[in-house]
Amino acid sequence: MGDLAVIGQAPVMAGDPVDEVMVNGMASESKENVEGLINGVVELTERVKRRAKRPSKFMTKELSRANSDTQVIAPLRALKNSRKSRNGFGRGLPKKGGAGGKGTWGALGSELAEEELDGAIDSNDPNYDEANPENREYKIKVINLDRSNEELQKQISSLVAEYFDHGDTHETYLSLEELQVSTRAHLVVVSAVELAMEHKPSHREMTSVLLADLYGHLLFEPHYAKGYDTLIKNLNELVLDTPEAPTILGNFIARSIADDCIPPKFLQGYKGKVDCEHAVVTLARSDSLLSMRHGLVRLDNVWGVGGGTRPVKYLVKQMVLLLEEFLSSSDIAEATRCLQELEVPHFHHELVYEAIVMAIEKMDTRTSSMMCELLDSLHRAIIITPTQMRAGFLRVYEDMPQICVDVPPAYTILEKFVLQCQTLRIVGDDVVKKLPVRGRKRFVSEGDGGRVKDDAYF
Amino acid sequence: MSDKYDHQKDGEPSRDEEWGSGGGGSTPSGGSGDNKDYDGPAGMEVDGVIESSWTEVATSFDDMNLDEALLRGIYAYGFEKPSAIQQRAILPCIRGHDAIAQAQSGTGKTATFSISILQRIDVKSNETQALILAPTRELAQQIQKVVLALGDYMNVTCHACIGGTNLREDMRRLEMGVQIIVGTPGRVYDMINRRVLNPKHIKMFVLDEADEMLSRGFKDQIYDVFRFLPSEVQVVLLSATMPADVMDVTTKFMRDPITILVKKEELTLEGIKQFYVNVEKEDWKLETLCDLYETLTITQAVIFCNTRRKVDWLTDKMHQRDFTVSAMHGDMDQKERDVIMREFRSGSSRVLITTDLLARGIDVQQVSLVINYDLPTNRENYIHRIGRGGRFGRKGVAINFVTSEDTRILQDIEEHYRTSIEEMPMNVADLI
Repeated sequence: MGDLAVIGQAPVMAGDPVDEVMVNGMASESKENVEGLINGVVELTERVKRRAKRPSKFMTKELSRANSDTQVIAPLRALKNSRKSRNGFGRGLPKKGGAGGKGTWGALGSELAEEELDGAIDSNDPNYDEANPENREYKIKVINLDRSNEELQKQISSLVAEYFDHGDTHETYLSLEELQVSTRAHLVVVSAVELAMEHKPSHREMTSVLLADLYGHLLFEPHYAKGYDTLIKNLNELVLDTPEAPTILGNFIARSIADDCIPPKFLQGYKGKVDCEHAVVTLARSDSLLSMRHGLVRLDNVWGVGGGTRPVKYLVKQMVLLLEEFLSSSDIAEATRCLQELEVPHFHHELVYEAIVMAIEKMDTRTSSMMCELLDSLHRAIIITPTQMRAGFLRVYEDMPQICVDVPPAYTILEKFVLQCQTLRIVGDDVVKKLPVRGRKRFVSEGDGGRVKDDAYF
Repeated sequence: MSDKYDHQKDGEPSRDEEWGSGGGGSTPSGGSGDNKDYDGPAGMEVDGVIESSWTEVATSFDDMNLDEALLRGIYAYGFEKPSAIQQRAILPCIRGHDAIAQAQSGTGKTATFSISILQRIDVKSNETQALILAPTRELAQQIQKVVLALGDYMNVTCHACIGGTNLREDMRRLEMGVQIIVGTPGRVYDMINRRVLNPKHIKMFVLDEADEMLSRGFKDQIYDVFRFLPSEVQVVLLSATMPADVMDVTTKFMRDPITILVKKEELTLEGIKQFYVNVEKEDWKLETLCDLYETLTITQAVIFCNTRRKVDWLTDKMHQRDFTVSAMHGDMDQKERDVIMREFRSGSSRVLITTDLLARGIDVQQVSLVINYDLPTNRENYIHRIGRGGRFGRKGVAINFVTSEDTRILQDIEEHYRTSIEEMPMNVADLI
């Protein structure tokens, strides 16, 4: 950039809007015409001498530009001490280095260092027009990276994948903005949803949030419509890698409608016009979600309630809820599904903890044996790893003094529970060994050698 | 180790896939001779959590009677010692037994079946001899990378069916003949239906992440694919969990399978000292980090930021203050990342700034200090940032920068992992 300005070439800046540069190009060209064709040589020298005393037009132009863009200041300073001509086409005088002057060939090798307005075509110039090398107009397009749709989608996908980690929609918005998706903004919808299909429900939730947050900034109604339309048409492909794609897409569309990104009439537009069976599923799904009573509120939870981004308290509540549900339904499969949906494998110790505490608090054998059954199933399926299982038991041990306050026979129940788990090999012997002894022992009588009354509370 | 393979080792780590850490398994120990406390790859210590119906254990790849070219590929890939699952599962798989292998994320399951397939394949035949099903396209591509890297000296062909715009390419490749095919069940079934994939000569059928596949609803597709396979096909199933539907598959497809369960968790916070520094304001994090810089460079440190923008910003700020740091994030292409990882592994750069996306790609033994410049948004990522596999028997220190608003999040992390994070003491350098 600096070189360019020093040499005196009409500066072409990467950041310049198209029209300004165009005007520059035209203006200097016409000046050249005036000089080259109309003026005689004598007149030319005179005029040029006079001009040399005042700041050249070029300078003022540069200055005004410098005000607008600080980046140009450095080249300007270099310009000040430059011995080269300050206007675009030289003063017509012999060059200081000799061998110059208008109408001469110039110094040896000078053609490499400078470009004349009508001079060499530089194929390394970023603006070099390969297709039409004779084109003299400098055009700078607002970054038109020649990206295919796939490439662009890949870039978007990588941004969305990162978003799944940091969860910052504004950050993602800024990065997407940098991508200059412009007319292909609908691809953001397409890529995000396609990626979300490969990921977990919590990621789908994040995707929905992202799509809603981008509304009005990067994405507008037509983008959503076009994006979802592309996805609907592509369902036949998507379903190969994600069997549930139609339902998932239906959820996304319904959620977008609930988030006011697209109007409900988007769905109506498809009524009776689709023949693809998958598309029918998608549209029916969206439709039913939206027409449900209080459906719009429910749509906030369309992707479930799990994920490591939710507060711990909230997850604890979910786990207690699923355990209570399990106690009434006895449906182990459902409880397992609910647990896995929470997507917090490193927090499974909480479920163990809650299950044991619940068994203690309910004080009946049914609860105890059901919890035991559940833990056994989860243990055998290795959904709760031995580490998590152990951690859950140890937590209960730690909290026993507190639990005991509300449930006096807690120690006895716990002991029974732990032994039951031991026979099922849910916990190892080390956990059993750590079993806390109850604080207060009841003896049968004072003189019987300290035999512990084992049915103290029953 | 040849540089060439480094990148596959820390290949594209993905969110819900484990083997970003390079097929997990083993990490080169700096000369196992002088390193007595190195207890081998993850999950190797047998403390009652390994249940195996196959008693033979091969503690070295050399003992597995592997093809020489394959062995070369394994070592070139960076493996030194087989992990627990590899020690037990590779041999029965090679001998043609049906096998069920359960192990936690990142313990080298992918390499287990890849090695077995490569050993069993007939390189001279151009027919499709092995079929691997994976739950997502992303994973399928990663598996393909591992297979090709391990089989680099064998001249094998492996193709991942991706579909989409690549459908034509898929079909062209398959028609040319590919020995190993990876894909999602739906995609593979589609290829069989289109008659571009001829399943007649398939002798190994692998179901990777079976639990994940079934929960994604691929049950029917798996059954469909299976119906096309020759009746004598060997089936290998890998899974992190063993719920009822996975057991169903095993009983339906497999003949008296060998079962190997390694229930141990891969990552643990045990032995890692976790601290927090109350920086109060976001703006004061940078100063705090600069104050800590001396400490960081005692060994090697990884600094985690939440976004790539922050990574760039922080790197820039640190450079401005003449601190030497390197940075890596998802925006960079693979080559760039390889160079940075190599510098870091070799120790020529000592501080690495990165994001979660690559957290699983970094398992460098020397890293004994991790700094969470930002607390992770998703708590499940916390353990991936600072947790260590059993192979790192060394002490580790994690320091979390906490602003006033983060207090709650920090408490949640403590509860989530049932761990305690204490205020950083002045003598933190002594602990590293």
